Amino acid sequence: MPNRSLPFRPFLLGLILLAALGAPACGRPTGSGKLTGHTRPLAKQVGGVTITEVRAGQPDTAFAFRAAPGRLLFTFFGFTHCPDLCPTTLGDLRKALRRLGEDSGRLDVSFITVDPDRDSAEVMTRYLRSFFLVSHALRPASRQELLAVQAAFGATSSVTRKADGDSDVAHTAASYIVDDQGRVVVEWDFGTKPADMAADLRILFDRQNGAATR
Amino acid sequence: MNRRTHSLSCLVLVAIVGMAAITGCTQQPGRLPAASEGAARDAGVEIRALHARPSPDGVTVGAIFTTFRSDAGDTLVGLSVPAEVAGRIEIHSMVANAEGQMEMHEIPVLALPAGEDVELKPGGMHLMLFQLARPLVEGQSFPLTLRFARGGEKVIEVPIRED
Repeated sequence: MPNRSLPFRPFLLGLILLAALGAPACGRPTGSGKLTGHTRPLAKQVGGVTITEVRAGQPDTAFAFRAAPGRLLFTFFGFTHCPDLCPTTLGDLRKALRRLGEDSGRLDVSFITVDPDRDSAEVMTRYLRSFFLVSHALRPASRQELLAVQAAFGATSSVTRKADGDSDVAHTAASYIVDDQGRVVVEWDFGTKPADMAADLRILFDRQNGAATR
Repeated sequence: MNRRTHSLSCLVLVAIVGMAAITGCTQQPGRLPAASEGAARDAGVEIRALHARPSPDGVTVGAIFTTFRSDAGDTLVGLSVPAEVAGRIEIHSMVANAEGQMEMHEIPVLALPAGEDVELKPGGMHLMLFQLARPLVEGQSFPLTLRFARGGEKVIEVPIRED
């Protein structure tokens, strides 16, 4: 009878070893799952870049792309007259935050307008409040400021004014999560599902918890 | 034994008739709203999952998403909404340009190949509303007039909801 279990022992031992070695090696203490979004071997550093933050009826402030300790920062390049990509992305993020429950309070949301001529502080504040109770309205004060921020994230945009007063706006449609070290830790393509956003955020928060206790 | 077989076959018959009745019932209403909602005659184009997004505060543009299907093939050649809803409506397509940016382009007409679903969804195509006369509020609706090359004109109510 005891002989029957013998062949399983090396296998079991192997499993235990794998479990013991595998988790810390991945750098994910509670580590479960793989990020849906894109990651890079060398994360983009955006912590040194600043942009103008606007609030209706209040003075402008400087905003740095670095989450507060233990938190994460979401950002997206768009414009409020955007009918499709911007409201879809912000609406999907809102759904992801609902899925996250309590942890949703650890994500700061920011939105960078690539169309500052039309997107005043008032317009942006009203727009973002339709999606989030609290968020950061980022409005570049100059073309140079926008270009520097775009370069840091690897994004581009263009605004073409038309004769009828409308504008054609083209922009990078990815969204970015920045950590408290100012690193872009994940990039989501347009169309990333709210469930995948929520799962990625959970993994990233878990990593931060692990880093804090180590 | 014999009685049991008989009652079994009765059950099967009842089940088949029941299923037929159910599918017969569900198929009709399934197509009905698409075919005949509003005042227009049936244009022979099936319209599914039609909705407009609620508009964020202060925004004067909006987007309508839906799926069209024409068994015989058709072309959407024109569309309009009342002035009380929006100043203008266009068919738009999002495409990635050479720099990887997403750009919006107007499509003058929308081909509906026979038997194919033509999906208007976020990141792809949408019907864009310009100069909204009033905000698009969740739970409300507005009429949309569609003109098809073969099927003629059709008026349909667009419900306003997130997705």
